[in-house]
Amino acid sequence: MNVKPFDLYEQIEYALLTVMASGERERLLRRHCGLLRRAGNGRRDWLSMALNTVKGEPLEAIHTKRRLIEDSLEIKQKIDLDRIAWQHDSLYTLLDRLVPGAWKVQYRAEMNRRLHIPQGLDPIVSRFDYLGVLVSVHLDPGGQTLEIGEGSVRGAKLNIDGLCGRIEALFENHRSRKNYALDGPMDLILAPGDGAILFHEIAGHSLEADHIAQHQSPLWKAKVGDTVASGTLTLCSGDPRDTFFGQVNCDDEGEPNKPIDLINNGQLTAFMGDSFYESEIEGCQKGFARCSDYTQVPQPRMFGLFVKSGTQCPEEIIGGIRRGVYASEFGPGTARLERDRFQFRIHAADLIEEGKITAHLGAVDVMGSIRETLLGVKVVGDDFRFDRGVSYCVKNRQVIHVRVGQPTVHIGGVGVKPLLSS
Amino acid sequence: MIDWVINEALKSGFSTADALRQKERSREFWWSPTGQQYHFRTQDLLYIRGFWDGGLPVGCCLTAPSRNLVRQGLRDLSGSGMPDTSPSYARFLPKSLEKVRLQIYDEEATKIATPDFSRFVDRLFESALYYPKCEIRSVRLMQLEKKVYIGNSLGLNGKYRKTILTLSMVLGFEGEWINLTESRVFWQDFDPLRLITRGVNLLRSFKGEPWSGKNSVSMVFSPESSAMALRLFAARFRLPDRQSAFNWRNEDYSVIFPQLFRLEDEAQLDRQPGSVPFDDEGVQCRLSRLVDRGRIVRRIADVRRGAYWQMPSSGNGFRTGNAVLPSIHFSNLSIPAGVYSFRRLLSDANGGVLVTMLWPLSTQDGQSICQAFGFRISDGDMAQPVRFIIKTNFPDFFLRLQKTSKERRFFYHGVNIGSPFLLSEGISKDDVIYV
Repeated sequence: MNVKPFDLYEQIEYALLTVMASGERERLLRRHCGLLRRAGNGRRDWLSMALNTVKGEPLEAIHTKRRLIEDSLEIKQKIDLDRIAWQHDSLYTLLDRLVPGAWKVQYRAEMNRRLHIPQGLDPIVSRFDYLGVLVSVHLDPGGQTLEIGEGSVRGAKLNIDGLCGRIEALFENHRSRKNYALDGPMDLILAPGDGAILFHEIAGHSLEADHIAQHQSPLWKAKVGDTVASGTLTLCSGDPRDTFFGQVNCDDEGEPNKPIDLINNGQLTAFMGDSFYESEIEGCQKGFARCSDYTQVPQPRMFGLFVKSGTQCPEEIIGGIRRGVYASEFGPGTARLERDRFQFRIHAADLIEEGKITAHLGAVDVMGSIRETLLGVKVVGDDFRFDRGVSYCVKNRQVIHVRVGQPTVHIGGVGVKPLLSS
Repeated sequence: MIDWVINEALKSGFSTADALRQKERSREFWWSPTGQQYHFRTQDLLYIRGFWDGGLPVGCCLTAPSRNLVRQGLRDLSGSGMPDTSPSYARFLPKSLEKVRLQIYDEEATKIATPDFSRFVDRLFESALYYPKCEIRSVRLMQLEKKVYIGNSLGLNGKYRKTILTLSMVLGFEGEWINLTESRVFWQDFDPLRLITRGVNLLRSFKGEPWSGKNSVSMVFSPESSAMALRLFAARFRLPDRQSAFNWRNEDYSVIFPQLFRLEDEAQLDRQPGSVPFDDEGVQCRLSRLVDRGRIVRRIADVRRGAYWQMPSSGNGFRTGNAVLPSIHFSNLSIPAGVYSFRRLLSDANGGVLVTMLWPLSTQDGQSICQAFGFRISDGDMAQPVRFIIKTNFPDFFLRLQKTSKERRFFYHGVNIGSPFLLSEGISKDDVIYV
């Protein structure tokens, strides 16, 4: 077991501004600074403490580290959420027109600095600056709440025009939705971009080393080289074009996070792990240890999960469907790995008949067996897109940002249930 | 510290302020066949909420707060612009607290060390020997000791301390796996044999044959399955926020449940992980009877939402996760116990089904679709395992409730929910049971 002493110093600054339909505004602020230390006693012993309470370390040394984080990494450069919110009148006007009195918009700015100090090596600095907007609307009395958002890591830029267009499309989808009986397995087409969150849940988590070691994953018996998915599917953990985690230079054990193929043309090529599981599981790669903050122990997690492009254009994919569902806006989902089941909420779906989109369906739930769904991927398109920067992941109560991306994907034999039946 | 923070907040220009300091020490122990892990954590959080004369309050949360950090945080908050025009709800904040003695702190739990955990893991393995083919893949114990101090500028001051122990375990039986979790306040309240038996029963029911029953068949719902049903439907017992156009007042005081059905939220139960003497706003927690004689008589509230709907807070304003401001959460939500034994319910439901577990799958037309696992009941005992799907809504789920057992058990997943065994004469005719 390869366990070396390791320190992670972290400073988080987090601001939240909520603008409500009633005109109310709520402002919140969080500031945390602390240390996560892995002992060098050959065991996996961890210690979490706020930075000015570290025992056994001179106060001067602590202050030096704190200054290093604060000064050299420009933590003091703040994002002015009030100013950003002030500029988005067009968004509030649109929401007032569509759902008067039943909406709220949340702006979230996050600045995270991490200083990783592996024993005997130079410190590695990681920074993650994030700005996101999340719109929540109540569609009907006592009924569904929909959330739709945009996020950015490249300065304080948000695509509000694009968001307004998506909100209008979402409302049109719900306003003119028709009730169809959709019981039984169907063809499901996932729109490019955010749709890959489905693969994050069902394939990504199934390939995490802790789930494999604890027999919680439906793929725990699989070995490298086994066929676990359709031959058209290639999944990887990173993409050189992606800048979302561009300034995160290592995982939370200080190991470099290199993009690897996880599934190559349907064949299992690697599991995602950390320095502990690397030696325990054959084919396990380290560099995937992540924690939400210094108070939590890192566990095998994804940074990104991407479906590699295929060759077919999206029009051809849709044109080849006799009867299926096209999913364009994605909600939350859960996977019960040990039961080989998943369930996912699609906020906006359309019906495809004879190769054409013929009706709006509103929100639907999709569900099925994880293994069968991975084997049921039929076609992968050539129109790869990254998500809109609002994907996040919850595992053992730790919430972290993740990145996903994919082209249009056609999966066969997925259970679809409309939230409103015929 | 709290008084100083409140004074600083008032000096920064806020008209009213409250502050809550939460000191935590936790130890986490993991066991798995591949090795052991240990995590010691201390946390010192300060939450400050500042009210203006009008509008919503602003809030901040600081780690290991020094005086400089507090001053800087207050400066940043008081300097933010764009005030809103809604009325302030500061006048509804509590002014005093009664002293309450609650058994929610276990001195022994604070002293758990690696040898104690190892002994406990050994006892789990010994208990697993009763069930050949039973396998334990991992055991994880988290011990949390929490000290809470609260105050506000209206003169309120209070404190309490609490322990929570959470045990989770990955258990396997004949190729099926489950992640079991139990939470307790007292270390001695964990019973390894009972935990293993619970897990094995659940795992045996997973292997059940698909069953397409009649909806008139009697069913006994285990505490775990009815706790899951309550979790699914509990949101309707919170006061809704103003964005939700849900017309909740129409529903109140009309009979929508059977006379027998009662539902309570009680924060002052001894030995329960959801118990506290007061909530995170300093409001004294009391018994809230939510459903009585089949009628919804109350909804839980925090100060903010209570003020909006002109109702008092029920003492349910809690911070969870990373939340800076409190929001509405249950403490110990439960169906009170009845007078019958579990054996009696089983014999009354002869030919029916004992439902051991419900898993939500989806919602459709406002109804929840759940996968149910359980056992046929034959000669007053559990027989072959079965699985089926129920589509139901909340009033219907409890509509044919006949009897409740005298043994109530709680399950804690963020919210502590308790229920006895429930005997139901099937589910209502509008509900659907299918494979």
